[in-house]
Order: sequence, then C-alpha cells, then structure tokens
Amino acid sequence: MRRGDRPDVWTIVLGLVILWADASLVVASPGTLPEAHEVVERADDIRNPALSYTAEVRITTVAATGREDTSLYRVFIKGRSRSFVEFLEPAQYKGMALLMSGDDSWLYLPSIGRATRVSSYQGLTGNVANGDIARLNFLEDYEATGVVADILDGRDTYRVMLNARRPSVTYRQVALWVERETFRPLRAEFFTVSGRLLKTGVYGDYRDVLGGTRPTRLTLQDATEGGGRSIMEFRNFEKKDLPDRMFTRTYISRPR
Amino acid sequence: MKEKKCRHWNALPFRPVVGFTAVLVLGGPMMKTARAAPDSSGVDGGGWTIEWDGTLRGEVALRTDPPRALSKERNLVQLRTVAAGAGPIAVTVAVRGFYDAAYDLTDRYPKEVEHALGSEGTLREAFLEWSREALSIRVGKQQVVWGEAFGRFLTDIVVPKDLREFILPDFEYIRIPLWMLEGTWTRGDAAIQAVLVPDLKYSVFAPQGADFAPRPEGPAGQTIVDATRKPSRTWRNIESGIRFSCLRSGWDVSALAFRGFDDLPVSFRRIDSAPGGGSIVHMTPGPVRLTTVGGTVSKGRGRAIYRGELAYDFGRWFPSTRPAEEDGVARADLLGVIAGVDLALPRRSTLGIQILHQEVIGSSAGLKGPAGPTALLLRGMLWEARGRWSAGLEAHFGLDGDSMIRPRIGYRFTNGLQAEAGFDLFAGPPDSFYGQFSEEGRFDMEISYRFSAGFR
Repeated sequence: MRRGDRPDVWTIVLGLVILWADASLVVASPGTLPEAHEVVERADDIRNPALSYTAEVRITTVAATGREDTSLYRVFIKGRSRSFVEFLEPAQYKGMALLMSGDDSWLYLPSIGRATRVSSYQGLTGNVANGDIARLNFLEDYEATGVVADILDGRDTYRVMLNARRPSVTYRQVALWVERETFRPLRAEFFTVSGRLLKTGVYGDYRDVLGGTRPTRLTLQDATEGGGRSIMEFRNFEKKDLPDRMFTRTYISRPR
Repeated sequence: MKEKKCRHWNALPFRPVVGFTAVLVLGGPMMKTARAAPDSSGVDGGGWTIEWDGTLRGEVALRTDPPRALSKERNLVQLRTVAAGAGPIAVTVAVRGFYDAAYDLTDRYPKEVEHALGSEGTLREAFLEWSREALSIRVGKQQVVWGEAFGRFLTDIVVPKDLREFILPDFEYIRIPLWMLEGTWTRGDAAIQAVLVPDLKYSVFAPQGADFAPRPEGPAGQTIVDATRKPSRTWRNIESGIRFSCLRSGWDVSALAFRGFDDLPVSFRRIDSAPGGGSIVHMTPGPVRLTTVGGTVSKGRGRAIYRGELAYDFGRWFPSTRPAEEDGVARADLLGVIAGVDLALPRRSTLGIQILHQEVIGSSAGLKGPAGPTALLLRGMLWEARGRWSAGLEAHFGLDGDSMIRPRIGYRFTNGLQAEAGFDLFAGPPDSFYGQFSEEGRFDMEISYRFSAGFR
C-alpha cells in the first residue's frame, strides 16, 4: 500500500474518538445495536430512577363490561429494590399496606392486625399485581437476552427480550419496546411460564418529574378474552429521604 | 338452660333491617368525606396531620340449628384517629362500641349473657409513638401481634383474646389491646422488639347460656366456683417479652420469648367436707405464670409462601385426674408447631393450607391436654368476578373428627360499602374443639361502611 492511500495517525485517532463517543452515548446508528442490558438499564433509569421518593398512584380498572373502579395508593420508593405502598382508597382498604424488599413481599391487613408474607404474583386490583406497583426493576429481575430493531406505532424502537432471573419475579418473560432515540420505554408484554401472553403494558404521559422526563402512566391490558384494562397514573412525585426502617417487616406489621 | 322463651326469627319480620338501615343512613352522608380523604391527607409537611377513619357495621346471625332463631343483630361503630406532627411524635386513639338488639328482641338468653353481649363501649387504642432513625417507641394502649399463621394463635401471645364468639370474628377484633410499653430497634433487615406489659387481663369467654359459651368443666356434683383471682399489679408481675427478627436470602426468621401469665386462669380444686356429710368441691380460678419461647419462619418461592411457627410453653397447667394432684391440675411443658403454605392462584385467588399440632411433653397420662391439638386448616379466596363479587372458604378439620366450615360470599357496592354473607357450621363430638359448637351453626350476614378523612 502506498503512503498516500493509508490514513495518517491523526485520522486514526480522530476515528477512535468518534467511535468511543458514539459508543458511550449508546445511540446506535441504523444497522448497529446496543447491548440488550444497556437498553434496559437506560429504560430503567427513565422509568424508575434509583432515588428515594414518594408518589401517589391512582389505578382505574375498566372491566370488559365498561364498569370502572378506582383505587388510590401512596408509594414510598427507595432505590430500585425497596418500596412501601399505603392503601388510601377505596375506604374499605384504608390501613392496608404492601412492602416489597428485594424479592420478598408482605401485606398488612387491618382485619388480622399483622403483616403476612405474600407473593408478588398476587393480584392487587384489576389487572395489577403487587409487583406492578411495588416492584419496578427490570434490570435486576430479568436477564436481557437479545435486542432487535423494531418499529412500534411508526417509531423506531429496540425490542428486548427479558427472562426472569428468579422464580419469585412477577412475570416469567417480558418483551420490552424502548424508543431508539430517547430510550423511553413504550410498551411491554408480560408472559407466563408456558409462554402465554398475560397482559400488555403501555407507558405514556411523559412528564418532567424527579429531575427527568419520565412516564407517569402505565396502562395494563389483560390479554385474555373478555379481560379489562387497568390504568396506573403516578402523581405528586416528591424526592424525600426515607428511613431504612420504613422498609422492614417490623414497620409494616405495626398499625398506622 | 340456654333456651328460655324462644322467639323464632321469622316472628320478627323486619327488625334486623333496622340495624342495616341505621348503618346506611348514618353512612350515606359520610361518603363525600370518604372521597375527599386522599387529597388532604399526607405524610409530611409543616404542622400536624390528622387522619381518621371509621367503620359502621350491621351484623345479623340466624341460627341454622334448633332453635332456628335470631342470635345476633349487632350494630357496631369503630373510629380511629392518628395525629402526626412534623417531628417524631404521633398519637393514635381508637374507640369501638356496639349494641346488639337481638338480646332485646328475644328473651332466649339469661341476663348474664345479655349483660356480656348486649352492648359495649371500649377504648381500643390510645398510644403515643416516638420514632427517630432506627428506634421507635410506643407507649399506651395497643395491640402487639407476633406470629405467621392464620386461624389459630400459637406465637400470637402478647395480648389476651376476646373469644365470646369463639374464633369467628376478625383477629383484630378478637385481640384485646393492653396498656404497655413497646420499643423496636431496626438495623438493616433485622429488628429487635421489646414489650413491657403492666396491664394484666385474661382472655374473655361468653358466659354460660350464650351460643358460643365453652362447655362447662369440673366435676359433677356439688361444686362451688369461687371468684376468679387476678394477678396483683406489682413490679414483679409486669409481663415482658422480646422478639428478634431478620431477613436473610429470602428467609424471614424470628425468635421470641415472653414471660408473664397464662391468658386463661387455672382452676385449682379444694375438697371440703359438707356439714351434712359428703363433700363440697371448691374451684378457685387464679393466675399462673407462664414462659413461652418460640420462633417463626417464612420463605417465598414463586407463587408459594411457606411458613411455620413453633412455640414451647414451660410449665403450663392442665386439668388432671391423677390421684396425686389434689388440686386437680398438673404442670407440663407444651410444644406447638404450625407448618403451612399459601398459594397465589390465577385471577387473584389464593389458597392457604396449614397443619397445627400441639403435644404435651413428658407423661401426659391423666392430663387433659390442649383443646384441638391437631388440625388441618384451609383458607381460600376462591373466586372473584368483576372486582365486585368474591367467594371464599375457611375450613378447619380436627383429629377428633370435628370441623368448622365457613363458606362466604361478598359483594362490594361502592367505595367503602360492602356486604358479606355465609355460614358458620360446626360438626364433631361435643367435647372436641370445634364439635362443642355442633349445635350452634348459623347463617350470618353483614353490611359495612368504611370511611376516612384527613386534615392538615
């Protein structure tokens, strides 16, 4: 090769810098794909930042018949693996509380006056399981096994397949669609052990909260025939330094 | 005799409706309050936050065993308020009262029963809580609940129980709050809880003649039951307990110890000579000390939650027929074990399966051991439809061939208002734990309204 055909040193350095910068942004140009776990990590950062904060969640369940039911919860979240949920409405559930710490969950029932251990699979209301409101961590709960480019409602997305790391995780498999440009989660499909589609989640109503633009609405559509849908709307976010003792079984076992 | 003049329930065509109507009339105007609650309540901010909630409930029970009559028409009110400041202090006060019209609508029950079950007003909670960092202290009248199991109390030993309706009501209703000092220190996933209880009370049973009065014990013949002695209120008699709990690799484990008095007075026997010959038996119920150690464990795996409890009572007193035991009772240790699993089923259904066994340690010859020592307990929320209807079942089966079956169906009308109906059915030999009420089966229904509000 003649000298004039070879790129000089500065050209190589510049090329490497551009490549490094490109990789660090994980914004893949068309035709290249980021690592699956990076996509999930960035989507998790948007959907559920590793902060200490509180919010209110209103869940509206619309049955197949059209009848609506609403319930209201106050959630306290610390990091990505600890959450505490107070039941506010309807009034007959007031006083109940749900604690999730890692893979473990407890439900406080005023009628028995103590907390009992429950499964994250257990239904909370409508199509919402305990794990949907209190456990929001895809990266730690699921192994991202592959990423493909996809188009969802006319938007360029990455579709990531997630397999549960442990039996205690709420769903056995999840397909997650993340917007290519912003890494915003757009849609998730939740599957059973047998591979049957259980429900579909759609993330929406992005707003500036907790120092970033984040989804404040999750619509869960029951995939079974005749199933209804539940809309989870998050409001009144507030950063707050929550004490560790709040996320213990002893704390939830005491009447509030 | 339980049955005096019996008025059949169908002779009282609409009176139970009065109670239900009262609940609805009182409850209706408060619905706006209930809906306004969440926006005005909170956990922080300047000033004090006051939250309150309450329950209005109407309960009706109709006996399914003869005499088929109204046995309950209870109207219950419960109010609870929590006032929390911006600092570490919070105050909780709760009261509960009921009036049971069944005892005025029928003269089937003796006066003692009417007095014990006709009406009541109690201070349920009155405690001040101080919490900072890892430490939390509560002082005042309160409940402390230990244990993992459902259906029976094995390690749930801190407070006595109100068993005037056997174990049919909610356990929160059954527990009798006590004045005590409680402190909890938390570090990570571990906690130490300590209690000091100067308020000494026995568990409460329905008097003879009531539907759920326990079978009378003691020898036949001329027996005089003296007044029940209570433990004196001295520093030495303060009950104390400690519970350590931790969570490691999904295993939720606790160890506990409690030293105090048995919740049940022990009847000591004395036989005197009668003036005209023969003998008179005196039974003197009184307090006995009891120390219990034990532990609980639970572990979740997928849709299953496994749980267990163990309790060991040192020196519990049992009725004895041993000739050497002149006072008619003897001491022995008692071991109790519960193992069970809760399953989360599709469509929000759940099923809990639990086995209980209690064993007198050492020679049990001549001893009358614990009631219902071995049982299989099932509890399930079996069906739910449209978020409104639900159906559940609780079933207990004893080794003596006795059982308690409780099918229930519920309906949720609107926010806060719900109704429930079902049967409480018992079977088995009359001296068995569940079979003692084999002639007390009933159909019962209740309608309740819960409301809440908050102020800042």
